Amino acid sequence: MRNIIESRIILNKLLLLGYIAFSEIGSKSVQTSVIVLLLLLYFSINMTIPITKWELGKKSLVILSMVFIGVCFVFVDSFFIILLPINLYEYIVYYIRKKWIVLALTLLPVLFVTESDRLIYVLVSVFSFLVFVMEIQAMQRLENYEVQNDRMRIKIQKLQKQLHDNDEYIKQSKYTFQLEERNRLSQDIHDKIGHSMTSALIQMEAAKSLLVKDREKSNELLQNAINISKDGIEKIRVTLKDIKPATQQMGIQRIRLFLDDFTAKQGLQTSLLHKGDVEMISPLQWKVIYENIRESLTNTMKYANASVVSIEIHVLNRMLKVEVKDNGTGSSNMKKGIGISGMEERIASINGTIIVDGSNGFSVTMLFPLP
Amino acid sequence: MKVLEMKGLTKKFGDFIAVDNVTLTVAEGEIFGFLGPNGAGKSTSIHMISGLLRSTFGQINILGKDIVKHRKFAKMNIGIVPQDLAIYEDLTVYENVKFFAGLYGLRGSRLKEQVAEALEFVGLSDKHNSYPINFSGGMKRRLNIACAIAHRPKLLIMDEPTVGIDPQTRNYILDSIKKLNKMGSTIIYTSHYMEEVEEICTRIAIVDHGKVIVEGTKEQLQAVVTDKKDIWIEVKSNKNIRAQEIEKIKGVESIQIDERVIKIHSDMDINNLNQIIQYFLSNEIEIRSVEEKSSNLENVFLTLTGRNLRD
Amino acid sequence: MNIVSIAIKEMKTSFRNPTTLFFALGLPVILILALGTIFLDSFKSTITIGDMKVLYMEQPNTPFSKEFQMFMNEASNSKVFFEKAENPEDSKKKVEQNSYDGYVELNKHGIYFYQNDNKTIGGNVIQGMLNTFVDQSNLANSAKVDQLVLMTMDMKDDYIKETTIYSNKQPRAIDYFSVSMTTMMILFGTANAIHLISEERKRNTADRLIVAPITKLEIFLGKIFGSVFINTFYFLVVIVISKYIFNANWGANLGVVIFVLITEVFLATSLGVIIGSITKSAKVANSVIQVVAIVTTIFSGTFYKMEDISGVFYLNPLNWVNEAILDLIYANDFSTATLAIVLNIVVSLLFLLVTITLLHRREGL
Repeated sequence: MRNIIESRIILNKLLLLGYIAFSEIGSKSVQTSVIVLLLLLYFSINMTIPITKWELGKKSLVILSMVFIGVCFVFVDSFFIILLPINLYEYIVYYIRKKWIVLALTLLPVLFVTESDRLIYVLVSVFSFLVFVMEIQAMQRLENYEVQNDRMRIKIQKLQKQLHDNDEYIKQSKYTFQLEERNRLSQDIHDKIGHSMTSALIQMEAAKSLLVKDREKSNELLQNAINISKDGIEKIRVTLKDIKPATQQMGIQRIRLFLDDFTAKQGLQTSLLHKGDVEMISPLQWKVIYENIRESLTNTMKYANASVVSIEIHVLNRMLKVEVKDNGTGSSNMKKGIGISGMEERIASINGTIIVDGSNGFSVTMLFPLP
Repeated sequence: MKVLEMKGLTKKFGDFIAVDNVTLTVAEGEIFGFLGPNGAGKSTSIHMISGLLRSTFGQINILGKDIVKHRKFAKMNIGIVPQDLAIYEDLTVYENVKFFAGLYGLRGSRLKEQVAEALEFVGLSDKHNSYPINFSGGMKRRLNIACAIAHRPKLLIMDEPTVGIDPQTRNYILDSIKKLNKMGSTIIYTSHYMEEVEEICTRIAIVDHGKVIVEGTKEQLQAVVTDKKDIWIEVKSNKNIRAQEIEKIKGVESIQIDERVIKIHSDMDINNLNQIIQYFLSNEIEIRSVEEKSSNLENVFLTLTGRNLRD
Repeated sequence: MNIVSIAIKEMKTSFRNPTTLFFALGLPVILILALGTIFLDSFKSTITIGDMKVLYMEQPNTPFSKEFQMFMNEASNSKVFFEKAENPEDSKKKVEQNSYDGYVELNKHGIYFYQNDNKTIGGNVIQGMLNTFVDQSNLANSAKVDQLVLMTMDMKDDYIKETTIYSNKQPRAIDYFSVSMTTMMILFGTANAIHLISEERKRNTADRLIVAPITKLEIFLGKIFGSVFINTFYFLVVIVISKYIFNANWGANLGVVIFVLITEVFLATSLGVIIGSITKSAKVANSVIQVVAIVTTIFSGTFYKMEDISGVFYLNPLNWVNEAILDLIYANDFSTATLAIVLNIVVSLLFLLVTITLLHRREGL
């Protein structure tokens, strides 16, 4: 922090050195070489101040510099006094915090200054004072920013953790749902089909043992077993129907096949979900949907750095919505690449719109009007 | 008559496409709403219409004339209420309105008359000589509106005029918009508050990522997502209610009878509310309240884009 | 017409802003009074310095011979000793070598005074005394047709420059600071001018202006004219106060002085406008202008009298304006004023042109 101040102080000193050099060199009162020597001496003393790490050393160097200025002032040229204010500030700042007292103190030596230099002395000390005040304020502002920065960083960390926790939770839930679903399936199979099969088996065993003794009874039992099996097959059909969506649309089938293939080849997990009456979708629309999904998946593979892509086909009342969304990095500032332009053109040909959003993963939403 | 026409309007900022190929028309007498989340391109579109930004592609016509070729004509006929307050705090209320109205070529007694009228309209006629610096937020907002209407524009554009104000001022502003519309102004209104747009707009465009997703009346937009509505009738008790009889009413699809609330799922396009209420009355069932729950625009937006209007 | 209403609005807002009012009116008046009083001494030649030796030579038929003898006697009381010179060339050389503080030559045209340029205090004192002498003699002999004239010759290392100072008054502190503070405050008006455009942007009224059926040029010119008018008004008030309350000397060519100042206002405004339009943020613009203003002020004769303005220093607008006005007041000299006016207007127009081009390209204001 002090470094910034120090560099400005050095600049301030250099300015003054330049001024002295400019106004004194060439005057006949003192030899140029002497002035240059003294200025260089002053310069080297003052350059050692910022280099010194040791606090006491710094202070003694400042004092040395002031003494040096005093000597020059008395024995060589009164003009050297204008270098005094900066050193004074450097020294006083260690002890006094009140700005105006500092200014007043540095203005005190004005009493010893010759009349002709008085004005320039006041000017220089006020100027140096301004530099100091500005620096101190800048430093405080910087400190404030840092505190703020820290606070924000902590907040971000917290939010990230929360986000992570939520993700965890979602994953956990997904797993739980899967377990539940499997559980339901095995329950269904066990309850409905298992029972039928078992009782059919028992009937058939009984029929077998009665086959010779009592043909009539055995026949009855077999008929029973047949009925139970028929019923079981019907139950299997119902259960499977429950599990598997009924629609056998070519379109959705084709997309599903493509996705399976994609998952197998690219190792990217995909999911397909459809809601509403997919029969409303025309073959032409299916074609565009298929092609655009393929394009989006290619994009995801190339840029998104994602592991899961979910596709949703949602048939609304007057509109069809297809969303392809990945869990990748997304992009806040998207360029329209050739891929997206192509999708846009295809969509436009059937009066639809496409929205590409990169704010949360990467998502492509297609909207078409339904007849 | 078409007050505003946008054809293939596009605005790019570098690689970023803020408005993407928007084509829309606004007819005279409409209150046209732009609904969409922040950054959807509403303000950018409006800035292009009012001449603050140049379009990258596309054309805009005001009252049938291209705004690039007929700049002055277009500007004379547009008034804009900017999103942020745009008033001079060291000019009095009267001076503010007069200064801006004066830029539209109004002079002398006509200027005075119209300035007074505009201030009257926003309810600041007793504040002519006050400085807006001491005003409440609501009063500043009203002055902001007055500055835009004193020259009597055919097309008034309001860019989120209700952001960050108290409900009272908000209602006042919404009422003024309706009043202005009745007096003959066509109005374009942008907002990310679904309720406001639903309340005042005759036609609405839902925008997202610089594109118009859907456009139409409130009912049309709702119908995009679903054609069903729910009618919730709060009753004193559910005695004497027979579901079968209500289901016979045209359009009713299903009914759910809870202890205090009867929830009827019905076709949206069929107006059967009268018949349903009639059923309750004729069976002497005491109705506490009736609420029609149709899908709102927020819902429409959510369904179509998967995101909320306000994030 | 639109330009006028924008200009009027600009003046109203500026006039109602107490900070601007203070910096434009209050501060210069206070500074003139303060500096004029504090530095009263540094403008009078009463600094005690050791003995001063002056060479003099009297040509025959000098009209004020007797008075000058008396003057020399009195001068010896003030430790200024006159010695009769042998020959002019030799004397001038001695002055140049600093062995004498000055060389006075009396002839029928008046009094010639040569002084060494490097050692001005002694020279100034003697010059001041001679001035007083000339004044008194003129007063005593007011009936005479011929007025006594004092010519001062500055001797530099390589050449001798002749400056003619008529028996007019020299600027007192209050006179000098009235001029320099006024010109400084006008230049500081730049700080307000940088906000001319950005202020509208900050208040969002820029959008309203752009949306209105007026051109950007009208907005721009309206604001410039408004700013020039209001600042002209401010400095006129400062002139009136300093002239009639502090009795500062503004000379006989007040009209021309005011015109020079108006062109300076114009310059300050266009400088501000160009800085405001080039810099991205108001903060950057502000710091730029502060540095420029401080540097310009320090390297100018604002707080102290510059003896001789030359070279790089002349590039400082404050210097050329100050010099022009001082020349108008004390030397009745219009040449520097003409130069200053032309410079101010040309530079301003250049700045405005650049700004207009920049504005034209930008969307919005």
